[in-house]
Parts: sequence; structure tokens; C-alpha cells
Amino acid sequence: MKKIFLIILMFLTTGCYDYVEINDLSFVSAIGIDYENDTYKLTFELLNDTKKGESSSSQEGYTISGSGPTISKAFENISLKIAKTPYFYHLKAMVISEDVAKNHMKEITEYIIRNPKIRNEFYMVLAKDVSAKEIIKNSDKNHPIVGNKITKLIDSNNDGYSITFAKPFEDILEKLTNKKISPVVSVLTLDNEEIKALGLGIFENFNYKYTITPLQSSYLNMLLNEPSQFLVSHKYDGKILAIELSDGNVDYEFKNRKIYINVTLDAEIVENMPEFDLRKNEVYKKIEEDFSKRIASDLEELINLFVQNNTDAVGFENLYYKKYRQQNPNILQKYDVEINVKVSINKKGLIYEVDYE
Amino acid sequence: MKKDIERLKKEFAQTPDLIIKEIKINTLHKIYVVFLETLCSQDKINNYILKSITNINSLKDIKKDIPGGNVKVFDNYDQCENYLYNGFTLIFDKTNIYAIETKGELTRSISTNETEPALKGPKNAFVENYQTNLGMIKRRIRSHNLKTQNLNIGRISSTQVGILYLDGIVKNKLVNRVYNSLKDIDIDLLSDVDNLVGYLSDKSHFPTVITTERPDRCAEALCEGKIVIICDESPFALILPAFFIDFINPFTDKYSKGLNINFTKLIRFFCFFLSATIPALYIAIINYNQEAIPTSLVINFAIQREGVPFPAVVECLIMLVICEILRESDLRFPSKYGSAISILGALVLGDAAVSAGLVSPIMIIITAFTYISSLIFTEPEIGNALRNYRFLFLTMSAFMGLYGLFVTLLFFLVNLVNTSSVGYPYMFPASPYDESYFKEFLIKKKNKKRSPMLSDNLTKEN
Repeated sequence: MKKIFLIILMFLTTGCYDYVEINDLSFVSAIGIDYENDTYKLTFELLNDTKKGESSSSQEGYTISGSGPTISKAFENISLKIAKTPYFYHLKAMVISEDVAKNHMKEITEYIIRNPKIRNEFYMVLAKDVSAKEIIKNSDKNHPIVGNKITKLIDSNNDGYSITFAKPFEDILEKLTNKKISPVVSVLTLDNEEIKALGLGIFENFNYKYTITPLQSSYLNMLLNEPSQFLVSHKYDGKILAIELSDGNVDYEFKNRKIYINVTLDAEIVENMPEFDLRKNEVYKKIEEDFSKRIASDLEELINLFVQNNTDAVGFENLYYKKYRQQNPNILQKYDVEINVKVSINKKGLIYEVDYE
Repeated sequence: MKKDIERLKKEFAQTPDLIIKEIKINTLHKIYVVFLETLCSQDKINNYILKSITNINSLKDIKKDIPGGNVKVFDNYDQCENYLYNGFTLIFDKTNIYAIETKGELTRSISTNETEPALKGPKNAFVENYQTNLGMIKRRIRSHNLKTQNLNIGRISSTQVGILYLDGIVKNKLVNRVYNSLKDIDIDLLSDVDNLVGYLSDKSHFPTVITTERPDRCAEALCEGKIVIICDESPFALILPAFFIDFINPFTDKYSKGLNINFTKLIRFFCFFLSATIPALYIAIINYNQEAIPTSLVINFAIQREGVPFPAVVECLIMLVICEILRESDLRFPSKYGSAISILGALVLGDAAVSAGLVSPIMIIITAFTYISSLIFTEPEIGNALRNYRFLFLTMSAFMGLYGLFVTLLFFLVNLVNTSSVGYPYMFPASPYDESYFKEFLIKKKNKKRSPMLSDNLTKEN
């Protein structure tokens, strides 16, 4: 009897605590945050879960905007416009404008960390030269849900050309709080009303600093030992020879107040406009040497950019700490950097001469 | 003799099928031939008794002179009723009573089994005759080590029950335990061997005794070191001990190729757990843990549930109850009407309910999948046990989401492991682990040994 009473009591006091009907939830797929006139302007992309006609398989979204003097007030005000309870666990992307990234990143990050209803599994992206709202509203017939569109864009560009950074907000948060490595985010813009990836944006202490070019973004992904695959081209008498680099392996050594970066890359010739005779070994050696020098020079330029802006996007301080378990702040300012690149062409591409007659 | 006849007439008053025939052997001697017409074969009585008796001038030794195969002699009146109801004809002499077996054929002929169909293997099944059933087993086990302990259970029915085992293979403590459980049964009527299950099994939702109508299965079980119980007027036999794995994997797997059947065995395990937990999992995901599934799926669920007036829990309960009603009515209906019930069920549960907006399409799929998974098991008691747990899972997940589901799953597993079958652990051979039984029944592999839990004689094949 006592057991039954205890069980009934347990159900009455603890049961149904989190109960909510699925039709009472409004699923938020993407959030856009802008800052204008001392006001946070939020744009939510909500998923449409009402039946339309016979087919119930196609998904659509719609946007709602709201604003407030603080980020939490903005979230509260926008929720007043939504008929159902906003549900953030399926959030795919958060787009922040340049202004927000430069000056208000700390407030945004704090709000996200303190809010238990937002999982840190979304992609954070930066909108350059456009507002976040314009990106969120950029849906079309082929991609009705902008959140999915942004996610797929980032994933495919990361796999194909290593221009974007396909890590969730959790990774950015770790770097923001770590302070030994500058966080990077993917940068998007609108090009003829199409969302386009521009490269990577570099942060320093909760402030956005600058964006690097797509090729530099690929180099950075390689330096971070992320799976990378990208194209590099070099001119020979005005004619372009292009190679596709992959399977990059980067080793770091810290000796004699110098950072040694040893890079080995596999390459495949994709364009041979100078019409080199690819059947000869000496031709390959020359190509490999030229590209090794070219890539080393590009990497040096990139590292110098980091040094000038006091941004350690590679995380040398972190790497030093992992190796030696000692703090060495501002290592990039204190140490010289020596870069050795070795490119190996393992796929020659088309080696036969083409007769155009 | 006269007193016995008078007593017989008095006790069997209002029994018109009792025949008492007075026969004068000679001027000095007369005997009484007594039989129950409904239980005896008139031909046998004529051939074995009446023809022979009229030729005898003096009764020196009826036991030797009567050509019947089975003749018993006694002088105690108390055994008369038992013999009469077993189809024996009684001859009352001055000093002795002779019982000659003249049983009539009141049972049906051997037919194919209906509850455990198989594509391969023997097709014959037990019938309601004890001797026939015993004979079908003895045709497969031609050894003097096959022993039978007989009992008569039921004050009124006095039903013959036989406990079969292979001496030298089975463990004696099992035989003694089963015999002691059965000999103390004091009931009026034992109509079927299933009535004994309650005395042999522990209190558990899960079946702990196998009921089978296949003689090949009984023979196989005897060779494993198990016990078979058969009963007069019952076309089923009991096999014990019975383990969880025996109910999940049907016996007919023995006639299939090992490599091919192992995949099906794995699917059955999944079906067992899925059948109990799928409705609860759906409720937990829909009402508590919407983040656990991909976005496109959760949106689909939301779209499908739009317009349904009931909460998901109520919708699920309604569907499960309707399915139970449909299943029960399908069992009771004569087979000729079976197709009409199927059509009605499909209409009610399918398109009509969805079109009327009473249930969502996903709930139809969930319910259909739940019941199809439970139909994979041949033992109906497993389905009944799963039903009880299914509702428990549903209740707990309706109150606490995925957490409630996993707490109930833990409770379910603890219950399973705690169950025993005549003192043997129910989750054998998983817990405790036993390689030979594992290879025999869980994953089919070549196995030359018996399980040491069931037998001390381990060698099955050289």
C-alpha cells in the first residue's frame, strides 16, 4: 500500500514537468542580429509547420523581426510576436552583422551561454557589407529554409575548397574564453542576391578584426590541420599552371626562439596552360619547387598579417603550451617564424600531347 | 459380488450408458459384465469378452482365458470407477474383479500443427489421446532411458498426466521438483495441460513454461535435459525449464541454415524491444525531447499532428486499445468471417480515422509497426506480457519523457533477469553465460555439447 502511495505521489509531484505539445512550439532555424541606433534588431527564421494541400513533405520558413535596447529584451520582444513558444534546439545558424561582431560580441556570447534553451551546435557566421536581416530573408524556391542553406553552404565549401570554417559555436566559444587562440568565423555576403562565402573572419578578444581572402582561408584551415583541399595557381610567362593541394600535414617546432612550420602537401595538376611536358621528371621537380616557394611566401604573408594585427588564429601559444606545458604569451610577437613547404605532385593529370589539327 | 453390483447400481443411478450384463456360465456360476457404453468399443467387448465367455464352461482362470491385451485383477471395489472411466470392461466374479481394456476411439486422428507452422520439418501434432501422444514421442526416442512418471490429477476428472524425462541426461533435482509440484495439486477438474502452468511457474508476466503441439520439439527438449509433461485430453505438451530465448527464437530455426537464420534471430530481438518501446519513444520525443530527432522529421510530425484534437498520449492510448479490441475479436471470430474483420480494421484504423482528423498518419504507422513486431513471436503469452509492459512504458514516458522510458527499461530488464523457470534463471544463456546453449539457441552454430546447467552428461555428438 505504501509503495503504491509513494508512486502516485511521485507522479503527482514530478511528472509532466517538461510536457509540451509539439504543435505549441515554433521552431527557429536561423537568427540574424543587427545593431542600429543603439538597438539590437533581431530577425528569426521560423519553420512553417502548418499543412498546405495534400503534400506535407515540403518545408517552408518565414521571418519575424523584433528589437530591443538589450539582447535579452530584443529576444523577449520578438517572442511577443510569435503565436507559439520559440524553440531554439533546432537552431542551424546565427548571422551577426559587422557592427555586432566588432563591438557587441561579448553581450551576445554571454546571452547564449546563460540561456539553457539554446544549444551551442549552430554555425555562427558574419555578414559582411550586408545586414544579417538581408541574409536571413534570402530564401528561394530551391532553398526555402535559409538556416539549412547556410549550413549546407558552409559544409560544402569546407569540404570542397576549405574556404569556410565548419565548426559549431561551441568551438568559437572555447577559443573566445581560451584567449590563447583567436577564434575564426565564416564570412558571408550577398552577391547578386545570392549568398556567397567570402572567407574567414578573425577575432581578437571578442572583437572582430578583419577578413582574410579565400586562399588565405584555405591556408589557415591547412595550418589548423583541418581537412583541406584547395587550388593554387602560378603564372609562367603569363600562362597559368594550377594545382589542387590536399592531404596537408603541418608540424610545428619551437627551437631557439623560432617557430618552425613544416608543411607537406600532395598535389594534382589540374590546369597546364604553359603546356609543360609532363612526361619529364625534371619538369615535375621544377614545378614542385616553384609551388613550394610560392606557398611558403603566401604563408609568410599570412603569418605577418596575424603578427601585425596581434591575432593568433593558428594558436601558436596554445601549441606551445600543449608541447611544453608552459605559458608563453604573445609568442608570435616574440619568436621568428620559419616556414618549410614541400609539395609532392602525385597525380600528373593528362600527360599526353593533344593534337589540335 | 452381489453387494458390489448393488452398490454400483446405486452409485451410477441416472447413468443410462452404464451397462450391467449378467451372464450365466453354468448352473452354478454367473458373472456380471459391466462397462460404460460411451467409453468402450462394442466390437472389442464382443470379440475379447462376450464371445470368449460364452465358450468357457468353467471359470478357472479368467485372466488367462480372456484374449484381451491388458487384463488387470483386483478385489477392491474402490478402483472400479477409475477403470470404468478409462474404457475398461469389468467382469465381476465371486471373489475377484477383472478389468479388460476395451477403449473406444474417441479422439481425432493425427493432423498438422496449427500454432507452430514451419516450412520444413515434421508436420504432425499431438492429439487429445495420452497414449497416442506418448507414442509419437517414443517413435523419436527409441531408448529404454525414456522414463515416464504417471500421476492422476483432479478429484472428479482423475486426468492422467505423464512426466517424461531421459534418465542419464536430466538432473534428478529437476524431476523431483516438478513431481513434488504436481503431486500436491488438489483440484476438481484438469481439462488441459495449460492448467498446470500456474503450479509450475513463478509469478511473472513472462511465460516460463513452453506449450507446444510438436512432438519433434518435445524430443529435442528431452535430449537437451529438459522435462516434458503430457496430459490426457490435451493436444499440447509442456516443456520446462523454459528460457527467454526459447520464446524469442522459434524451434523451427533448427531446420534452417545457420548462417542465414542468424540475421533473422537478431531482428527478432530488436522486434521484442521495439514492440514494447516504440509508442513510448514516440510520445517522449513528441512531448518532451523534441531536440532528439532531426529538424525535418520533427517538422513532419508537427505537420501531421496539426488538427488532431487529442494530446499525443491520448491518441496513442486510443489506438492501442482499438488494436487490442481488434486482435481479440479476430481470435474469437470464426475463420470464415476473418476477412471481414480485417477489412473493418483496416478501414477503422487506417484511412477513415486519419481522414476524420481523429488520429495522425504517423500514429497509424507507429501502431502498425508495434503490432507487426509483436506478431513475430509464436508464443501468445509473450505478446500478452509485452502488452502489459507497453502500457507501462507509455505511462512513464507520458509523465517523464525519455528519462521515464529509460527508467522503465531498467525496471523491465531487472524483472526479466529476476524471473526464473522452475528455479533456473530465465535469462540463461545470456546470464549466466553458457556457450553450448548460446550456440544452440541464441546464435545458431555447430554445437556438440549439452549445457552443464541442464545436464551432467555433456556429450551430444562425437
